This record gives sequence, C-alpha cells and structure tokens, in this order.
Amino acid sequence: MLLRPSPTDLRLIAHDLGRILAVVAAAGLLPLGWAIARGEWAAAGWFLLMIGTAAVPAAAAEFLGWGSRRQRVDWSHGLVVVALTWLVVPAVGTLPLWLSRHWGRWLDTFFDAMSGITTTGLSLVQDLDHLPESVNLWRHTLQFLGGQGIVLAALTFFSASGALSMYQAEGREERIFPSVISTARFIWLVSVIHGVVGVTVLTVDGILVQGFQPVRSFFHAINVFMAAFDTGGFTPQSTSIAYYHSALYEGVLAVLMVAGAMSFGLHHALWNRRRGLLQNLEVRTILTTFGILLTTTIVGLGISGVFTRAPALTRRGLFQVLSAHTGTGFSTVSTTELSRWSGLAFVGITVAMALGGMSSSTAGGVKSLRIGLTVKAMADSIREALLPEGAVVPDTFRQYGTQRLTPRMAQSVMAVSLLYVGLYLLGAAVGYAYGYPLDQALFESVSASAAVGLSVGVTAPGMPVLLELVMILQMWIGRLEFVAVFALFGFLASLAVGE
Amino acid sequence: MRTAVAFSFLAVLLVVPAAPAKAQPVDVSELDQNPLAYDGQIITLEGELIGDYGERGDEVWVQLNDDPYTENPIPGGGVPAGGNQGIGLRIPVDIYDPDLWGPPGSARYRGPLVRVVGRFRYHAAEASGETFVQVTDIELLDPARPLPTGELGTPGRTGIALLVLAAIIYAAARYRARPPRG
Repeated sequence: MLLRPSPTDLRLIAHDLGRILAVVAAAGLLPLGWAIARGEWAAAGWFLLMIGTAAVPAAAAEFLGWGSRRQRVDWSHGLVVVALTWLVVPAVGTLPLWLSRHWGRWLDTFFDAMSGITTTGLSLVQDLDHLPESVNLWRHTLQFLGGQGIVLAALTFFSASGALSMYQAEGREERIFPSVISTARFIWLVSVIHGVVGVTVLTVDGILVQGFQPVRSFFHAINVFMAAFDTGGFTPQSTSIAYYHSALYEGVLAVLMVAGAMSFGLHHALWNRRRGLLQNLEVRTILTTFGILLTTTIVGLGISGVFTRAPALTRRGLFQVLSAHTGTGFSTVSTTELSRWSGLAFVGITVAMALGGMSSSTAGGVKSLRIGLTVKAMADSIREALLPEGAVVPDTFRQYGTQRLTPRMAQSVMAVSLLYVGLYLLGAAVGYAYGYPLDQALFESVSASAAVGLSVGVTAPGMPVLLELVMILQMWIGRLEFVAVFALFGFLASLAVGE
Repeated sequence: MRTAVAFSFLAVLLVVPAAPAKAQPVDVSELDQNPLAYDGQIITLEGELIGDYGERGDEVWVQLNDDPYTENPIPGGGVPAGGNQGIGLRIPVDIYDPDLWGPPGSARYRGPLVRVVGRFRYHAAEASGETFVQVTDIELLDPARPLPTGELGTPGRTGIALLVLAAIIYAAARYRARPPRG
C-alpha cells in the first residue's frame, strides 16, 4: 500500500526547492552584471525577469516553509527534491533564452537548458554567433551549476537535513569528509582553484597567442573553462573549439576536461599526495579504456582515409576521444566531418561516450568504477567456475583502500549499467523510427544519455518533437543516474493513488 | 597593322596559360561536404567576418560565416533559420584593415561582408592539421553596422517588480520566524 504524502512532506519539498531557486536567482546575477557592463540592455531585462521569477517562489517557499524547518527531511524527500530541481531549474533558466528569439520554439530552449544543467552540451540554438554575450554566459553558467551539482551549491550555503540523500541523488557516491557539507565545500574549493588557474591561463593565451582583445579573451576563457571543467561542451562560437585554431588552447582544455572527469575523491587524494593511486580500480579502468579506445579510433581514422596526414589525425583523434570519454563534447571537427567517422573510429568514439568518466565527477555515462566492478564480478565468476571446488577467489578491490565487492554491490552496479544500455537503446530506437540511420541515431542517443554533447547532426533545429522530448528525458535520467527519477515517479504515484 | 594584330594575338596566347587559375566560387557548406575535392584549390567565398580578429604576428585569424544570418542576424530582426556555417580565414596583415571593415560580427554588430579569394587548406600539415582558407585577396562588400541592443523594456520592469515582491515576502517570512519576545 502506498502512503499519500502529507502536507508537511509537500511543504518540506517546496521549502528546499525554494532554496534551490534562490541559488538560481543568485547565479543569474553573473550574466546580469555582464549584460549591464557590455550594454546589452534588452538582455539585462531578460535576466531581471528570470531572477525575479526565481526569487518570488524562493521567498514564498521560505514564508510557507516556516515551522517545517525542524522536521526531518528523509531519504525520499531528498531524492524527490533533486529530481524536481533538475526539471524546475531548466524551466526557469529558459526565460532569457526564449526572450532572445534565438531558439525556434520554447521546447528548444528547454532542451538547451536541460542540456546545460545536465552538462550534456547538445544545442538547438540558432545564430549562436550573434547571441548576446550575457545569454551565452548564462548557457555556460547553467553547465557550471549542473556540473557542480546545483543541489550541492544549495547545500554549501544552506545547511539542511537530508543533505546526504540529496548529495547522493545528484550522482555522487563518495563522501570525501564525514560531513556532506564539508565535502560540498571541498568540491567548491577544488573548482574555484581550477577556475582561477584555468581562466587566467586561457585569458593570457587568448591575448598573447590568439591575439584576442582582453575583454573578449576573458569572455572566451570563462565560458570554455565552465564548459571544460564541468564537462559540459557548450562553446561561445558555432564552430566549437575549432574556432580557436590553436593546439595550445586545446591542450589547456584537455587538462581541464581530465580534471573535470576525475572524481573529487581522486582530487583529494592527489592534493594529499597519497601514493598507490594507480592501483585504484577506477583509475586503472579509465586508463585502460582510454588507451584501447584511443587506439581503436586512431586506427579507424587511419583506415577510413578521412585524414590524410598523421599529425592532423593524431591531434583530432586524441582530442575527440578525450572529449568523448570525459563526457565533455567539445569538438575540433565539424558535425559533417564527425558524421564521416565510420567503422572503428565510430565505435571508438561511441563507446568512449557510453563509458563516461569517473564516479563522483562532473562527467556522465556508465562511469569507470561501474565498468571496473562489472568486469571484476564477471572475471571472478569465471575464475570460480574454472578453479577446483572450495577454492577461494578474493572478492576485494582497491579504491582508496581495500574494499569488498559484495554480491549486492555487484548486482547494483550491473543493474545501473544495464539501465544505461537500455537508455541508450531507447533513444536510438526512436531516432531510427524517425528515419535517421541507425548509427547516427545510436550516436546521438548515447551522447544525450551520457551527457556528452557530440553530435553527428541529428540534434538540429526542427527535429521531431517526440525525439526531442525523449532526448530531454535521456539527459535528465542519465545525469541523475536513475534513482532520483524513479523516486519521483514513486512519489507522484503515491500522491495520486496513496492512502 | 597586320603585324600589330599578330603580335597582340601572340601576346594573348603567351599570357593566357600563365594567368592564375580562376578562383572557384563556393560556399562553406560545399567545402564541409567535399573538403578533399577543394584541398589546395583557389576558391572565392562571400560572407560575414564574425567573432574576433585574432591578430597573430604577421597574420590574422577570423571566422567567415556564409549562413542566412550574414544579411540579417537575429538581433537585427532576422528569423531563426538553422545553425551558423563558418570557416576560419588566415589573412596576411598587409591586406587586413579593421578600421575600414569595422568590428567582426557579434550581438552588437553585423560584421563586415566580404568577398575573399584564397587557397583552401584541409588538415594542413604545416599548420598542425588546421582547416582554413589562406586568403590572398579580400574585397569589402559592406562594412560592419551596429545592431540594436534594446532596452530593459517590459521584461526588465516586470523583473524589478517581482524582485520587490520577493523582498517583501522574504521580509514577512523573517518577521514571522523571529523568536517570541520574553
């Protein structure tokens, strides 16, 4: 029997959502400030409207939530808040996008806002090269908020009961410190330090090497930093990273993409100069898969003849595999050119996208820890079958210390991995049904579900509405790694038919 | 007279084969679809200079777009008509004239419209695999012109009203939440 949520439950959820909207309103100050500084007055008006729209329910929730603050937020509340957050924030975030008239229909703006907040990077924007800078900055800010975890942002500023459930519902398994709040603050510290260094290096590179004007160089730097470190993939210009025509710029972005795809646990271990990190299952897994997929892609490109010169092949191949495996979605080749990557190159890029980065990072996809554990569980089963009866197969693995791979853990890991495969196939089937070639439909579906953002052209203005809705769903479910979304469906069911 | 005509004819015969191959007019989409067919060829492109002038020593990198927005960008009243379509240009500084051209295209400017002649390079080995057009000649068709940046308007005024409302509600919430006296 389902229990209908009480009014107190709803008040608690509304209260937390209100606080998250307060974070959105605060984040809107960044593009608002940029719009004012650059004289984009119409855009400033759009941001004022968005900030006001977020601030009123935030204040109202504070008003209505009075008296419920001492109530305990349980696990399910936290999950429901997170799942709703990732629908409400993009909905509010569409306002400046829609008012800019650079999107064909409202659903396209929601698609882009969802793509931003889930750090996917697929986009339906039109005439991006004439988009107001402040609106462009807002697209990238959405990626930064989403990559960091918008609920994490709220947790940093507002201590809340139920913090652990909300933290984990955003797709983070590990706690670096015993307190979630301390962990959230550490994550912000890492991000801010990378931000200061990354934006400085990119700005200086932009001025001295690329020859950009200082303000424009800073504008490019802050945008691509947010998109790289949070493995988002939006870019300020329509030709993505190919716009910069600079191997050095690509190199800096590659470092930021890798940093973004690393788990914050690994960041913490590196900061503390812990040894033996290469023995960690997740590190070994991602290095192995990256090596295999890079080789596969480069061999595939060599065979296909898309590239006739080795330096170009290596540079493009390396950057694209890195972009795919970290879930960033930056591109140094055009969509048309990427769609010509067939055979082994196609397999390499698609599998790299599907696998994703490390757990508790800003990357999406199945994630390396799950891949490593799945392989270990299967290898252990085979070894058990081959060894004499009674022989003991060690069920331990290294991940910041020695841990046991319990049957329950193995089942959970495999279940989530299978759910991802199902999600990939769902979008591919819908795309195929609409007449797209199967390989392109699969590529785009994996890109959306694993929050990557590389495109071979399926994602385009005027795409079928149902396919667009499915891809929005894939981005949402894929980023939240299923559990929070299932909890929301359960909550809605109990609201409808509970007693 | 007859000798003069003969010499003229001979001169034409000698000059014609030595004249440079005529630049092929193409668009960016065609280059994107068939890059190998144009690699190393002299081409002509028309479009809008957009983004930034990247001044790198004795050359300038800039993007040229030849999409539906070159004449009428969305901030200037154009309607959404798909994505942008652009390619990088590498322009020698001796034919680079930003004062005459005006700023490159952005939300604030429709960039200069130009016709360029140059050699298309696809994954050029000498340029770390870059794809671009090495420009040899550039003709300004229409200099940059400013686009309207608008005003705060109804959205801005509504936003300010909502912020005032939010402040009042928040103050009321704080007032309600204050600890009881005594």
